[in-house]
Amino acid sequence: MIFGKTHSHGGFLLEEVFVLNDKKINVLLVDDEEALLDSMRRRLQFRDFNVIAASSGKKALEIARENPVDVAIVDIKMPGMSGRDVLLALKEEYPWVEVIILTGHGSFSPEEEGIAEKMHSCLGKPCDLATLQQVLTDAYKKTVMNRREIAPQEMDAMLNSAEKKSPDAVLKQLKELDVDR
Amino acid sequence: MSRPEAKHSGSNQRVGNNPATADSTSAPHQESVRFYHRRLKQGILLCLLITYLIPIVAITAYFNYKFNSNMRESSKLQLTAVAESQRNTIDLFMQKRIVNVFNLFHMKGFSLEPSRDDMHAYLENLIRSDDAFVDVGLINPEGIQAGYAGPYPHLRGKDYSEEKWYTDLVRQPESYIVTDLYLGLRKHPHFTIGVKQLMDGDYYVIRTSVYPDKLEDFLRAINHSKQARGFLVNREGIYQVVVPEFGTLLEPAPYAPEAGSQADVGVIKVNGNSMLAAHTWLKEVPWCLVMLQPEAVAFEEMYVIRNTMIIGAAILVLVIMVFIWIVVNRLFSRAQAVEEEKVELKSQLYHAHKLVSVGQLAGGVAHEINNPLAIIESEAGIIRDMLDPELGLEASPDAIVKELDEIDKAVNRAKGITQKILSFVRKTDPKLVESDINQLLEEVVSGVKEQEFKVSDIRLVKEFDPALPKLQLDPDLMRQVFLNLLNNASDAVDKGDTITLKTETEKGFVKIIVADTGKGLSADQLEKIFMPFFTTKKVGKGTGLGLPISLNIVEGFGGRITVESTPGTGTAFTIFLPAAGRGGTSRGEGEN
Repeated sequence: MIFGKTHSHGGFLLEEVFVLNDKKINVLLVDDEEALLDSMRRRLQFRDFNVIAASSGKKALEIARENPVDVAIVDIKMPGMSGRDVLLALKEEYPWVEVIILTGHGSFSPEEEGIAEKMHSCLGKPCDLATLQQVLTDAYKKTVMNRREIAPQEMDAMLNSAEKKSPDAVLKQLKELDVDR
Repeated sequence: MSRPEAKHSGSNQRVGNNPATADSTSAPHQESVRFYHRRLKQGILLCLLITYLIPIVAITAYFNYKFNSNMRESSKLQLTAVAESQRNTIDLFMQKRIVNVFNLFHMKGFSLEPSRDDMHAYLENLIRSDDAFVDVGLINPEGIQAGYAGPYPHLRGKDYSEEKWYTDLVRQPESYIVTDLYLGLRKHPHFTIGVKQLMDGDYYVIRTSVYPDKLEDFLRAINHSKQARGFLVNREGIYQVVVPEFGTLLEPAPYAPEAGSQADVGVIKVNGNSMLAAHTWLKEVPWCLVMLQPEAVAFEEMYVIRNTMIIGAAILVLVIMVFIWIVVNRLFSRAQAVEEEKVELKSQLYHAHKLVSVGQLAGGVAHEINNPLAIIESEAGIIRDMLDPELGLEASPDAIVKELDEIDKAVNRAKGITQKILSFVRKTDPKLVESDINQLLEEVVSGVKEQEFKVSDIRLVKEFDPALPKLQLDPDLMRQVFLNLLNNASDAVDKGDTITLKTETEKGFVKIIVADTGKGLSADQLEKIFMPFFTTKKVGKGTGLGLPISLNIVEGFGGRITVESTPGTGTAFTIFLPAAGRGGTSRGEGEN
């Protein structure tokens, strides 16, 4: 049933993304650099992500409480609540949400115990959009798996059966899986 | 970043310190080091010379003295030995002659009334033993010369009973007598040997005249050695036997030993010359053998050795002096090289310390630069998106310019950071100029800053100490420090707050205080206040380099910066600069 939907509704879904937040991937973007926050938010929105921007860790947690967040992108070095704190708080409240760490700081060690297993991945700043998109898709896949409790092999099987392998297609299929819950 | 709310009460303090001490050495310092070196060198040279020379001189003097007296003694002994041996020879000669005469009494056919022929036979007998005998006579108990043989036949029958030597001989226990030298009838110096023999209850005496030529030969024999001259004198100091070159017989000798004195040796003056004089009395005759030797000759060997010793010591001293001089010179040139190396090393260390600080910066730099870079990349991406027909976005020039403005802002931000880092790293030799701190502060606040404060309704209080000493500083660098602190203060205050600039002198330090009644700093912030890239200001506004750079500069002048802050009440930065220029005062004193 699910596969059929994917097959037949490729074009249809494209039209719907702008309408329904439910149909888009909700990304929580956290960075204290307002200029960066704004430009990244816009660029991801051009690419069909629903981005909620937060300029501090505190605001990020408030937003997460009111909005269903799929994936969070968090800058590690922020005044007040650091990216590390945000990651731990998010994982505490919403264990299924995958968190991507952004860092421009050499002193952050992604291998740190208690952090490495909690975050999805760590990206260095500046980071090109294609990579970010790829990682976002991958993170979202994990979020779906977390929510729906799908085993990795099962997930791969589901995605492999999709004929279209473009990132957009995979993303849409994932969204369908997610919305289906 | 905004300054956090005041959560702490109480006062916090922190002292900025860098791991290595900035120490650029100024010329006067080096000059004083050189002067110190020269004085030290002179001192060491003097000490070494004294410690080496005094013992050498003392030892030389001591040995010289000892050696002199020993040599003198040995010279005297030598002379004495010669005199003794000569005396023995003369004594032996005399004894033999006396025995020759004695033997006449025991000759075969000796007659108390000898004929002329008998007497000639006696004389021949004597002359056979020694040709010093001149004549011979037999004197009967009445004192009349009964028999005579010799060159003066008229002496036969001469009455000797009144002659002193005859009466002495008869009276004395010894059986022989030798007279002093006399000229007598023959006008030729000679002496008489008289020998008595008891015959039939009466003393018969044989007398014989002897020429002293043989004795002269003995004395002449010793003269060859070392200009020693020997002569014989009687108790009255009259020459008895003397080599004609030295004196005339029967005249007073220049030196007459006390009669009967022990054999001795001493120094006498003869015609203004120092002479070594040894004397010894003969056993058989009341004569004294005197040996004279010029002191210069006697001590000649000694003088040679003494001179050798003195010259040797002088050469030794000279060699040691030269050696010491060379060694000390070398040592000092090496020490100076080390000192100069040290100075060079210090400046290298200063630079290295700067580089270390830069290394610590690197992590921070990466973040600070990466943020603007991320913005630039992102903005460029947006413009690209706008121009992408697939996305179908609005691509008006206005919209693009808006994004480009963002890019410019980010570029400027990055540029500001790199420039500050460069100013931090650049190895600049500070120009040391005598500067008036009060005036520098005045220059910094006057004009723009004062206007800025007025507009923002911030009160600026200046409490300058007019008696502040002038300091050797780079005014440009110091202005930069003051400006940094003032900027920090003005960022921390709100309307109605006060900024105080105060200067004063304390314990050899000039203190410059920049205090504000602003938000203050938490203990956590105070910890990091001097760390590069730590800032309490909004993102993009503060680079976090102002205080580290200021600290670097102040430490470069041998000073330090302390900060005291109470959250909610205000912050006070205090710069300590040594008042007596560089290195004059110990640092890190009187602070907590």
